[in-house]
Amino acid sequence: MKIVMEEPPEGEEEQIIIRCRRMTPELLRALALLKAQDTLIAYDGNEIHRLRPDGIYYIDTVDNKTFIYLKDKVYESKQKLYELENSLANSDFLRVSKSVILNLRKIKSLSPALSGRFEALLDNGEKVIISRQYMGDLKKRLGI
Amino acid sequence: MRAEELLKTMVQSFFIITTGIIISMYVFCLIFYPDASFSLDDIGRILLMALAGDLPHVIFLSRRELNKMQMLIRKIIHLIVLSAVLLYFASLWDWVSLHSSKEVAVFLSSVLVVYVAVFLATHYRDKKLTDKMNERLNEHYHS
Repeated sequence: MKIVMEEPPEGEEEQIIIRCRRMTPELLRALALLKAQDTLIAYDGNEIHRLRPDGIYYIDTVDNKTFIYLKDKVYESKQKLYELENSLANSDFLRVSKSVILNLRKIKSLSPALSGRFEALLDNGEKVIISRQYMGDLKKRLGI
Repeated sequence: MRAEELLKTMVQSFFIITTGIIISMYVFCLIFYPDASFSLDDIGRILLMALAGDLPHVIFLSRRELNKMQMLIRKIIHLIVLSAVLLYFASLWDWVSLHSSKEVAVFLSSVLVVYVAVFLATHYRDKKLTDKMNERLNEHYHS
């Protein structure tokens, strides 16, 4: 199989084009690997799930365990918070305290939470505290 | 609030408390001792008092972020402990007589007024910021 790499013109989106007569097992494996880049592996007891980042509300660590919160379900991740933070870089996620990464797209509104901290009300009704230490990053992300 | 954040808050609060003590002393002396004068020692005592007034901030130390209600409860406890610490030092240096309920009341009222003023000023600033952030959130993520 020939592999061709081309540099797209400035401003054009990067893309992967597969030119083939039929899907071989090798190609399917390669496709699965590429698709896996977009998802996070999470556990619900013994079940393994692939979670799409756009469905995640926030990620929290409690006693060195990492939990991924969806609208009304919680999964455990075997990855550390900083690893997930790196995986989700360049997305809508932002570290908002030492133990929480928040999906900014899920915030319904923000309000002051005393002592220079803020509280994010999410669209599923949950509340997440934004630490003063990380306010600078949030302001920068919002262009303030 | 974590240790490093607490340290930053304490440094910031040191200056707020120092200013608060000076304002309170000015008002207090205007009412009770209009002819009072202050020595170099008194300036040192003001700084020492501000340092002691900073210590009750450990009340906010927590491994996890406190929610609004937990923070409000700790703020109230902090105000009570802070008032007690300041009153102790003020009586130790004879700035306030514990035998005069009027002096104690004015002193504690001054502490309360400064505390509430700082609280309201901070809240007003944060409220203005959240209004701006909510606006940007809607533009960036909900439009």
